[in-house]
Amino acid sequence: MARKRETKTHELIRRFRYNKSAVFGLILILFLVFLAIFASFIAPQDPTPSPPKLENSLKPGFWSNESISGYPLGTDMMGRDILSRIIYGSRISLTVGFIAVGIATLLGILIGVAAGYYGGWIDNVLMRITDILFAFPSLLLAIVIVAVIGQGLDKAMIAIGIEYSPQMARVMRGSVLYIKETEYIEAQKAIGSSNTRIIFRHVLPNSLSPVIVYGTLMMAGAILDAAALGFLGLGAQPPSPEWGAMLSESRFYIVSGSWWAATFPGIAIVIAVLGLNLLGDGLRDILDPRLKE
Amino acid sequence: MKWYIIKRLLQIIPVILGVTLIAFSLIHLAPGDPVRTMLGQHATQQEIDETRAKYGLDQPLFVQYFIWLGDVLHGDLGRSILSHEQVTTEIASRFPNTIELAIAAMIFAILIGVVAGIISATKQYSVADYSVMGIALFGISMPVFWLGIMLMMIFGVFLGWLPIGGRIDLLLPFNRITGFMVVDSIITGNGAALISVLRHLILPAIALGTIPMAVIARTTRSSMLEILRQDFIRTERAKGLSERKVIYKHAVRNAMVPVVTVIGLNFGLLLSGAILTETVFSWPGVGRLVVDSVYARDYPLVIGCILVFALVFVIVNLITDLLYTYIDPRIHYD
Repeated sequence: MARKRETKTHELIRRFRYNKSAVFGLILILFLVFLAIFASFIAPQDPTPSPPKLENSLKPGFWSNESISGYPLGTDMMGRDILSRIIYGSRISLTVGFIAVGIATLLGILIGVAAGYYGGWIDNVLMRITDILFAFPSLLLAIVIVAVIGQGLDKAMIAIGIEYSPQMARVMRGSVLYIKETEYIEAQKAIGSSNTRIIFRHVLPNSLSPVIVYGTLMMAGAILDAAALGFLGLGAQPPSPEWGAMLSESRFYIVSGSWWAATFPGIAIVIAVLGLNLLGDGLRDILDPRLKE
Repeated sequence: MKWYIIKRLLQIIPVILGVTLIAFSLIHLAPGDPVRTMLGQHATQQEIDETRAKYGLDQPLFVQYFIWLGDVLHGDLGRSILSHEQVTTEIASRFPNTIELAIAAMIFAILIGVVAGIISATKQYSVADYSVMGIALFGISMPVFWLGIMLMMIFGVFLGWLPIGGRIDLLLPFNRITGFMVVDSIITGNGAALISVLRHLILPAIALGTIPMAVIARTTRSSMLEILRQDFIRTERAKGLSERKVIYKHAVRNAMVPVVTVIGLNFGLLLSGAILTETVFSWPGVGRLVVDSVYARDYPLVIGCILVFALVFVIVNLITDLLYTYIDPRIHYD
């Protein structure tokens, strides 16, 4: 049994290694995780120096003669180092992505398993509620929730978690419905296993693949949405080095030619989202060929 | 088919009611007191109570909901707390701008996306294919607001080709008729205004249309590849039909079924994106209105905007569903 499991894992790793886009996505994400963990060692400057060095305001980076050493990507209007802020920002974005998807997964599993496993009126009521949540364009739902619980990064995480929970619930429900009909679950019922035991020992572990695949893709969406809320001023608040908030603060200075302050945080968002999209697509191909488009 | 349409229409009613209930109750759970915000710090308790009574804010919540729902059904969404304008008036004056932006973005997305997808599929594994798929992958990973800022910077600030924001050059005379500014300038024969309105439309439409464009390109490609592998295409080729005819007359038509669905589903993304695009380009639409009213805790306006967005979204999804059954008669719903 142990041997069999080992070969299965080997098989998955082998398939992963042959999937170029998945490997590339993983490298991008590991790079960001590395930046996030060692931010304080890597970042050349303090991301939010106090008092601000206003004499360094909007200095260009390495491509220009006017750059100041130690500030390779230039500075923003407060004279802060953009590179350092982006590096520290990776902590925020990865955390938001992780926690928001965690909330969505938890809610989604609860709703999806209850609906799929028990069926009947429970299924009906829960699915009608997700129908209603699906009637909101995704970001709008997050904005509505933020309007209620208030602005700020922690609130944005909750809002985005709730925003993605109906999707996760649908995924879980579909998966549970499929597993419920399999013979080994019937066998479990026949030998008198309790519902709790069946759910935790058999249904949940077997629904793991779609949760991992959609969780990865949702994390890309969650990071985008968190940046969007930050950009709208409804998420992370200045002086936080959150990428969306950084963009929002510096976008007015492009008119005077300071393009770098608004450009680089966006590239950081693209790297994170691209990495997760590639990884998610790759995982889908590897873990669950049924889900392939 | 007729019954399916009726069934789908009936299904919308509880969803919309649910939306109104959620919008209404969520907003009323919000912290902060709109009356105090409106009257300022120095208002007396009596003034506050009077204003509450005037807007019906002193009633129990469920009473407020049903009174409000009745009003909504009569097309009365109340007045904005901040501007004192009718919410319907405020939304109606901005709604055409959002629709024009969304339509322009969709035209861009469909034209470029479908063509790129077809090229990609017919020349699979070529340089063109890899470039299209590469650009599409970047397209779906790009934040709308960042792309907007970049376009604005390159084409507005550095090259100076296009305006960096707004809906029209404010110095131009303009007659409002329908509220759709492209339509209005055509009706009134106002050439200068039409050029200005279209120039203001280009960058926001490209920014907003890029994600759907990328998704449409990917879907078109995979759908085309699947169709091109099928027997009837081989038969067409065997019959000696030109490759052009095979692809454009037979393959494309069949490949469009999933593309139509994707276009419909992407309308939701488009509405979310409109909120961001309108903020970047100072576009006077409903998307910016909803953000501004959330800031201002202008509840009636927030609710109005949410209702409009959800209604449009649900209706577009319904149309997508129906179109899908129409295009592909193999699909039956009973």
